[in-house]
Amino acid sequence: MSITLDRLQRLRAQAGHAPSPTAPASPDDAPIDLPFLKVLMQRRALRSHLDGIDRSLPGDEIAPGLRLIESTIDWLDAPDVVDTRFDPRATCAIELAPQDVLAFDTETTGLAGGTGTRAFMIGAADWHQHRVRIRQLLITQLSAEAAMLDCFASWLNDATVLVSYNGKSYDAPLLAARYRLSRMKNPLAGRAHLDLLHPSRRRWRGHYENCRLATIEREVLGVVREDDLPGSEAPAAWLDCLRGGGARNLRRVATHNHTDVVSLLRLLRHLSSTTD
Amino acid sequence: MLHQAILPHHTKWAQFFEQLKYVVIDEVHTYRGVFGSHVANLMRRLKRICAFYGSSPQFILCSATIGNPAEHAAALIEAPVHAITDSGAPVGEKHVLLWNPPVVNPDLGLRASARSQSNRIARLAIKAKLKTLVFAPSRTMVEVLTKYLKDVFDHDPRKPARVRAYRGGYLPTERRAVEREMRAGQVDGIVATNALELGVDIGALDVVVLNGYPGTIAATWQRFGRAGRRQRPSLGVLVASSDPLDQYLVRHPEFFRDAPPEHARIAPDQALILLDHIRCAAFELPFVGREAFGPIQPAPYLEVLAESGVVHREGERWEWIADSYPANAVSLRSVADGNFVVVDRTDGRQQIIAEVDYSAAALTLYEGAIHMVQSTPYQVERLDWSGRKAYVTRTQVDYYTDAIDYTRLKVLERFDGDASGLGQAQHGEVHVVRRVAGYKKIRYYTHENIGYGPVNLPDQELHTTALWWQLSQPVLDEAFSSRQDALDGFLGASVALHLVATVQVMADARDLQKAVGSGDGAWFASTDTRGRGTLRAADGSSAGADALAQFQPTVFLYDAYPGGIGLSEPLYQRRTELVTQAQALVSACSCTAGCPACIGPVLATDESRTTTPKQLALRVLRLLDAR
Repeated sequence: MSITLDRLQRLRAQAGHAPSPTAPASPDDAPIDLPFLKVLMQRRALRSHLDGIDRSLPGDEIAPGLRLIESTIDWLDAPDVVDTRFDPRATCAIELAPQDVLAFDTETTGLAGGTGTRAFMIGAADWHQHRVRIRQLLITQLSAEAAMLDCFASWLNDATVLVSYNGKSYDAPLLAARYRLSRMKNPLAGRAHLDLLHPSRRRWRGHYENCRLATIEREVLGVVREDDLPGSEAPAAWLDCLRGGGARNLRRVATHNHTDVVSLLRLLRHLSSTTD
Repeated sequence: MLHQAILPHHTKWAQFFEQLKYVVIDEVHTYRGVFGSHVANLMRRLKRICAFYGSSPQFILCSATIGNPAEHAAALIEAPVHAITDSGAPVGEKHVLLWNPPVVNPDLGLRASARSQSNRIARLAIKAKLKTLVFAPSRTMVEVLTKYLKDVFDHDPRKPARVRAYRGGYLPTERRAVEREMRAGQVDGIVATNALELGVDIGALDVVVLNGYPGTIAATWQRFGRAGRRQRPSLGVLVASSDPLDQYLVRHPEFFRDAPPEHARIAPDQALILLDHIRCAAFELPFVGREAFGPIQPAPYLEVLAESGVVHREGERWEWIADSYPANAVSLRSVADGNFVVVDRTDGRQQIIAEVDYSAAALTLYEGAIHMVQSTPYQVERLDWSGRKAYVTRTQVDYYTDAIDYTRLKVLERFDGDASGLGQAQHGEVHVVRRVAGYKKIRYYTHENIGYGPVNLPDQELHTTALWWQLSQPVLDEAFSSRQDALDGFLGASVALHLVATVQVMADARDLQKAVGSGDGAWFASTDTRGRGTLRAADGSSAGADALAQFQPTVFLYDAYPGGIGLSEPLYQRRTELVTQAQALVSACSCTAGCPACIGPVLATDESRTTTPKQLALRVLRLLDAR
């Protein structure tokens, strides 16, 4: 019996495969009207040629499928020194030079975890030459992942201390898996890492409805985000672009990520300066 | 663990995989059929991950006694193996009793029920202060037997229960509680399905009673092995049911003693199982180029996955991109998914009390069915088929229910065929439609049929593989005086063929099914309450054999899973052997007109017929005999 799409789907139905997504986390896993979808996708691809769907992305392509989006802001001064006593579990020096700090945040294809989840964007912010420098890596094809990981590794030197929000539990393990899968040395392994989630929880638990970064930055730092794309929509935005769709939402993901890493530095400065 | 936790997170186990030297798989005889096919694919995934980390571990497999340990182990790990078959383990004193219930009607070969005999033996044993385990063939039977034993031992509600039931479909917390009580020795009698077969530690027992033959010799020894763990003498009792296979065994104890144990078989390339594991494997590592999955080229499966958007093809690579965790949606125990939950709505409650497999739902959760949990009866009030839910309420009834179902087959494609005597034997793909038409109400203890109810459920469809035998119309006209006789002959032959085939491929009887029909789906046959074959048209209505323009009855043996599970192909290879053995079985049977041990039950009136159903079945088998 040769295997065809039709046949497999028929057998799945006979085996009681429910006509609903097998894993609720995945809108893409839902059984769909495939022929119809194909037509739609062809039309969309056609339209994007004809009408020139807006697929423009910020930044420069520094390797095939890898874009680097670089920007600076000069309204966030570096503190003279970063006082890390706000985090009793920190493994770094009590006082850090601000230029050694690198705040980072990833955007991923989902929350399911495991080796099937990847980062499609890594954003980082640091104080560089008296300004805040924001660098974001974005892959537009899957094969560019190794180049992205390689580039991110090159941003870290022996003195670099990582700063993140929940990164110890989420971003760092995820990147560790990706480095492993690409057979590369994990530059995050053994590195000092200040995860601001836990100090923030200690300080503000019960003050606000939750301790998510967006809440803390609004309540504590007074940051107001406009046209922010909810994090849950980021995977779809990237997949849409990967499959030849428009890039508008993906640009919003980049903006969201940009705000996140800047907020990390602001929050770090706040925590550091209010340590007593 | 390996399937849902370690492989999907293999990067966290990188050092483990890099240094992995040995993989030990215990109890491999249980990894057969559907489960074994899943496990073989799991090994493909494991080896793929090991290869990524540059290790190539050595496999060590252990098994209870099976007929083909080397072949089975090699099939599981897809590598050559060296078999060590000498055992140095001390064997304790073990008594085995094959118990055939007394005959109540010698003409019909009707015996007292295995259920009542198992109940009696268990009762005696528990009264003699022996810790006793009863294995029952089905979940319903577990509940019925538990009720009988509880009626004797647990009539005082103030005392802790001495008898407990254990089966699949209970919620995990309930199962753990029963296991704890058993280990602590608080329970004197346990009634269980094969859910208790493996890996569940319940401490030492004295007596194991099997209500019916479990289907394989290996499983029988495995279950008997539950008794006598501390080198105390132990007793294993096999109570034969009226099932032909049981009767065959109990009348041929030498088969039980001397027969080489079963061959374990798997079909790792079953399409649905393969799709499931290629999905999981793609999550674990992208497929690159022409990388094979075991011996399979995964490209068509990856296309399917790409169509549904879970993998993305980029050049030579197929990468996982969906936000889902596929291993959680793949059950290693079944081909089917989409379990039904049973919701108790008594007194306005909304509580899930059990789960039922998709494949068993139509047979056990129809509206009106009595569904039992720990022998408490619940009646199904509403079945939400698409929502996969059955709503039940507590009830007080003195009966249980049993589904009546019809099966219709249609040949879709012929893979191979050969002359078989004056007829044909063929092997190919079939379309099976199974309909649950109604149910019987059966009273406790007396087992009398006290009523029927209708069932209105969607037909269960199945594309699967089968082998079949048929005789042409001229041959039949020559050999039989009427079409009715030919039909009765085919129905009888189907029972005998199914019986020897089940023993041959050592399949679980429910994995291999039989049917008699026309081959083009126009009609199918079943045995009516008078013991005669009845034709039914495709819609289930009765039809007359003589009115048909074309009459070509066909015996089918088919795999009971979507896509097949690899049973019918080896059976086709042994087609002549099967016919010969079926003939030997029927002609050597000591009954006069036919009995459950050869061609199925017959009625007293058949005794007086000039040609008995047994002769008719033998005639069909002789015509099919290639010698």
